[in-house]
Amino acid sequence: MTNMRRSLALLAVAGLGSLAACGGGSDKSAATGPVTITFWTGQTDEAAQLIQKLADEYHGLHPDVTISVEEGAIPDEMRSKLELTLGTNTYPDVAYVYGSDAAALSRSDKVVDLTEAVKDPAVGWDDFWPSERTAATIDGKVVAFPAVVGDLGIIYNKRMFAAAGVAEPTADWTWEDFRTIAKQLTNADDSAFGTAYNTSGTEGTVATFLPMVWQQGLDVTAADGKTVGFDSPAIAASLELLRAMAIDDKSVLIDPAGDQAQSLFTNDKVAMLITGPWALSDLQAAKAEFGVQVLPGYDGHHDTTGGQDLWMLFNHDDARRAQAATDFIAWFTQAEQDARWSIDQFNLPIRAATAEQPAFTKTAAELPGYQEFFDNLGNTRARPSIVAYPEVSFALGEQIAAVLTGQSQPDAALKSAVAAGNAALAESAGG
Amino acid sequence: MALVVGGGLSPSKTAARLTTPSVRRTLTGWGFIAPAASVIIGLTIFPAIWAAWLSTQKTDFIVPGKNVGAQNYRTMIDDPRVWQAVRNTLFYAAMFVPASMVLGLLIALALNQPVRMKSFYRTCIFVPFVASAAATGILATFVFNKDFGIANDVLDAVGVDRQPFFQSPTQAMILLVVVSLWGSVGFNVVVFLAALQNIPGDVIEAAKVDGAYRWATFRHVIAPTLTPVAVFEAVWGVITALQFFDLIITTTNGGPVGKTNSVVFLLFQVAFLKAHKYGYGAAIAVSLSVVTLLAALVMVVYSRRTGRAAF
Repeated sequence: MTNMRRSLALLAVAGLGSLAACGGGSDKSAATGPVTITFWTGQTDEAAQLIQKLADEYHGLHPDVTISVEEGAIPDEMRSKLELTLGTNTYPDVAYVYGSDAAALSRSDKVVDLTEAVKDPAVGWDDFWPSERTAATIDGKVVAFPAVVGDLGIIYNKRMFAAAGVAEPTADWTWEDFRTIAKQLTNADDSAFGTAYNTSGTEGTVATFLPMVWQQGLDVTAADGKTVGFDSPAIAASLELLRAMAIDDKSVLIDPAGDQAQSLFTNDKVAMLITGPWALSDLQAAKAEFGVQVLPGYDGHHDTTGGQDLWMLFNHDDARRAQAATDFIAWFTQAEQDARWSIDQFNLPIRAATAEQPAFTKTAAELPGYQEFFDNLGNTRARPSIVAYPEVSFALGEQIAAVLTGQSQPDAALKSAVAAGNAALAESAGG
Repeated sequence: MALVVGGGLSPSKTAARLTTPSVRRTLTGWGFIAPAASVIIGLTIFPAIWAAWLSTQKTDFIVPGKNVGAQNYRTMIDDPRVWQAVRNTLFYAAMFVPASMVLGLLIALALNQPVRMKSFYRTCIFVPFVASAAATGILATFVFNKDFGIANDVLDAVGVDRQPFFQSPTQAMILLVVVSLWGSVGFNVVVFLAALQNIPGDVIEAAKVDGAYRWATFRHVIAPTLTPVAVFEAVWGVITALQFFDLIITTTNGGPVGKTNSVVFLLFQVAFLKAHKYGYGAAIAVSLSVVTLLAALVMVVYSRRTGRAAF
């Protein structure tokens, strides 16, 4: 099976190559011959080494193609770095970008349109998760391959639940249950908190909040895309719930940079983390005893925020290079490679076929919570692929943080976020 | 090479003119400053002109921008975030500049006394200035963490209520001033110390002989000598304060609710962090440079007029 899949992939690569040979007549360079592509991975340490290893392997299979693996920029700064280099000749062939930046970047005429390339059955486009395909598709045009996927759930501290005599959460729990449990687990004398919230006001804050929007049938933008979709009394009520938890119950550890909660969890000072599968291996290494549950829900809906990071490809006016980059990423995102790229780093598989790999079964058996986060992928939603998203998110995040820190009341905060979000949407529509 | 003494101004003798000593001197002069001048033109003047041009554009560099004239500047005037950042920055400058000078002077005076291990204390005061603001900021977030920081442990021990520190809209900026002072007062101290040591000992002795007490000596002998240095420190402090940025990004990120958002941090958010509006960011940057330049000019001109020139 594995061998067949690999040979299918190789076949596909060969097929794509010959397609390029037909269409590349007017381009500067030949469709064959040595080519070097630059790969901005946004990764450091082990992840970067892993990519280097895979790139070397690919070079072994395709001696004509050399991949220059570079960090490029940290993921938070990748969009700025690309913006500043796209006008020059120093931009890469492939870069790691956040799904929320894809809409803005895809306006560049340097972005490779992958719509035709992913129709090749060997790419296995439909095997990627739906939320990833949504994030990679802007106005019907495929602009990227999925790179990393994640989802948010609750990791709870079994020791703290047992000590407080509180029953562990079940899959049908609600946000009211969440509040009650958090309060029961809070112990002011011991500086122990029921849960923690990232109040940096950045995307980390917004990603934690958006499930409450989706679960109530709402979205970041309204159906017409001209106004925000969270201008609703239901959202004011959600903010009020968070306010009551943080201010009245004092059951929420305020985490201003989103970087303290996890270590406090391992010291049994925080009972429930709203986080993703990336936290699991560190928690296991720190000998924490934990379980994983889906996010609390509204009316039985447990929608959660999915992290969809992408590989975006850029054209250098050289069809051979673009083709080589496309072929390489198509290979890189196949199940065999993904089993090493994603699972070796304890990320979730980016496609269904990866879950059939032995590496997946092994990790699911050895790493507690991994299977639960994998099952939770069905609940993931993608943030909207619109240019104004980062600004709308900025407006909302600032106000969520203001409510949690007692600087603003839910109604006033929501009003501010809606006004600023609508202004950002109107401005981006105006061009 | 012809030795033309006294001018050689005949129009027909071009070669001779080029070797005129004054021309040669001029060329030699330019030759000496050319490397430095090209660095200044390339890295300061050209980017400044480019930023001024960019401030008339609306662009994120992904698609070609468009010329919007003075629109970015008009938007700025109507933007409540800009005015909040201006207020925050002025508040910071109004606290930081006087405090750094007074504290710097007091410590310098103390270190100018014949105390044992003087150079050890001087080193201690100066070390935080050498540490990067990023390190200082990260250290401060640990010390002043509301729940687990050592500062609240100390308050607990002496029976004072625990404080929210960086999470409080009223305390955060004051705390940033304190951390800035810790990090930069060493510079003020060193500058004042250098000036203090320039005061000839016999002048002070003469004052003593004339019956001047300590305060009178300070008021009439030491202070006038320090004035030019103080003017320099004030100008330097104002420029530093108006560009306040580095501690913010490692501690509060402009929060809570924008209360520690400085003009430069806002610029960073607008251009790089979130909105990717490079033209608007450039407009804020250009405005800030103009204001800083004016502030420095006013201070320098005033100090010259009143005879306390430091520049």
